Amino acid sequence: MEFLNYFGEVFSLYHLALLAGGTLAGLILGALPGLSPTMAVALLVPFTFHMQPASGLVLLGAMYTATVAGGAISAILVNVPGAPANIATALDGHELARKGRAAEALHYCFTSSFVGGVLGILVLIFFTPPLAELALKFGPAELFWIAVLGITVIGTIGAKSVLKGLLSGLIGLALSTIGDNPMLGEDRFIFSEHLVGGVHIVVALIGLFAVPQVLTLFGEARGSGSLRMFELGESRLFESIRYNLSRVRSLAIGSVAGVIVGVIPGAGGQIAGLVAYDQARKSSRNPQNFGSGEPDGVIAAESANNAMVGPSLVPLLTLSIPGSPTAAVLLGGLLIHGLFPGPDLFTIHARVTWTFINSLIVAQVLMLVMGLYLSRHSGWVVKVPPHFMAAAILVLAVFGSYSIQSSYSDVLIMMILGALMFFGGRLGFSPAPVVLGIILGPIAEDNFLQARIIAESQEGVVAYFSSGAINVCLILAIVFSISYSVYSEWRIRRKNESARG
Amino acid sequence: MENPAEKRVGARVGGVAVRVAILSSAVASALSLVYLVASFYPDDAEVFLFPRIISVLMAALCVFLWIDAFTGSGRDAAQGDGFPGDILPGLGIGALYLSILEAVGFYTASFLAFFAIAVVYSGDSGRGFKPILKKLVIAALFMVILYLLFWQGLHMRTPRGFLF
Repeated sequence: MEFLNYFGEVFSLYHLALLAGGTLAGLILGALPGLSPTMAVALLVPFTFHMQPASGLVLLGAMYTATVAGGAISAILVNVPGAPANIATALDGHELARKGRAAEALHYCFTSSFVGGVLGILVLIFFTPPLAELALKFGPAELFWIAVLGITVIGTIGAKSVLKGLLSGLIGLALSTIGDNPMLGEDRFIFSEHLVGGVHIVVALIGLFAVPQVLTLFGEARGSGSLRMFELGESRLFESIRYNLSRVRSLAIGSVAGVIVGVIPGAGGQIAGLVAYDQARKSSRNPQNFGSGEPDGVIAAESANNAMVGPSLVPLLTLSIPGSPTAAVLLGGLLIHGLFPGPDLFTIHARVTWTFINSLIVAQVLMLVMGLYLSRHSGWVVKVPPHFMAAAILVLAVFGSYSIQSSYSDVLIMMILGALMFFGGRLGFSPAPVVLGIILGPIAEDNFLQARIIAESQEGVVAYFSSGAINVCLILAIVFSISYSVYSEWRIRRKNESARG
Repeated sequence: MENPAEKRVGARVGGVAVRVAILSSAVASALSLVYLVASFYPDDAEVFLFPRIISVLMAALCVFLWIDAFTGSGRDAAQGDGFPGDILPGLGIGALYLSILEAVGFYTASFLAFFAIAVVYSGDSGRGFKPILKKLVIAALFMVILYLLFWQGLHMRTPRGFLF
């Protein structure tokens, strides 16, 4: 219970002001498409340079926590996830909003984020040593299978057809191979100078979600679109919170998935959200409701992506291995203050480390309070006429994609991908698997190539990829994921056919 | 009993579903073919190993997609195959916006794009001096907020072009 000795530090007026400012800024920045948690924290790192180490880390931690949750606001209200971690939230969150239940969806989002986030930080506080050992067991083969599992999971959600979903995931993987080969550094598929840097994850995220939304709004403004403007909806706050807390299974699935994925180096919140969403759907009595406004979808996804925050710091603080891209940026924040991950953090620098970890719990509370308050006042977003909304999203998408690498090529790629996705969507393809394919592509390829080199010097490729309990479990999970989804789709089609007579 | 009108609607919807299923299979196959050729054409097997695996998997899935399209089971998973004409002006504005972005400057080009979209898509009620003035003011305010956030707050320097 050493951490309790340092709780007083968090409640100094200065730290509380930093936490409040960081949380509010994080919620707002997180809601802007393109300003991902990683980027928000990266932008803030230089500002913390002149602060005391504990204060700097308190600010960075608050920003990390709030941006992950803030990304759900735009995912729910305008169907454009603020960050990859909120893709799963958009699947049901926006559908709820379109049914006039936007306020309710936002309540679920912040309540679930809070529950998952606090559980994740408690895991960080109490289980750091055993989880660090678990993280070390994930070698290239295990990480490769994790990426494949992610692709099969994403392929089977978000699209009405398993085949089209898997194909969309593979298209995403194919897009991720544009640019350098990660091992040999040689160029691939660079047919234009604009493709030299490859397709950046956030650029793809903005393009694939924002541009189709803009084009749909154009249709809506002319009265022919399928999208209807919606009301924020009446929702009693305490009723929403009570209902949310009663969904113990979805909260548990989300939190456990978030904790496990968070500990795995490099996996990140986007996988946590999607794995949790998929598992919540598979364990639900009404899986057919997922994708058409099922609260459990939002609850599982949001509890997962915030539950990931604490555990993603476990391998970072103990082994210098970041559990997520944002944790990698936080590592920079630690290093500029002369703090090196390892046992010293919990002995010599215990005051700084425990103040930082304790502040994450307070940041979760502030995120809940401010998030619920903001959700009451976000009604103006849904009242914006479609022509202004379309124009605003388009301009924000251009600025957001340019801001990532200060590259005009990114803007061009974003627009082209988005326009293609609009027509792809009309043919039954979905943007979520494409984005996740782009995210998981480098993880899958890097680890596949590394594992292949190791395997050739050991027992052979097949034996290396299929030996060990973790590998076997992951392979079984992949087979189950595909089989279950194919079976579900077959069952739904049979039901539809018998209904048609 | 289905009446003739319902039958006609059903046949039309079924026809669209078949067209969409075939079109989506054709588009996916074309993409797969391009990627397959681009992956196997270069000599360097090591560099292109991972893309080759993906391209083969994509081709295999396309075969299943065609089977799905012809057996009829995959015909209800799309929205429609028609080209939505309403988006054409917006696509035009978007293309123009992209082409002048660097030369004119990010902020001015974005202001013009915002204003153009607001005018073109606001319908007949948006015409006249007052509505136009309102759109101009909103576009200008939006750009001021973006300037404060990106240029001043985040120190993000966009190409200034000849007008900023």
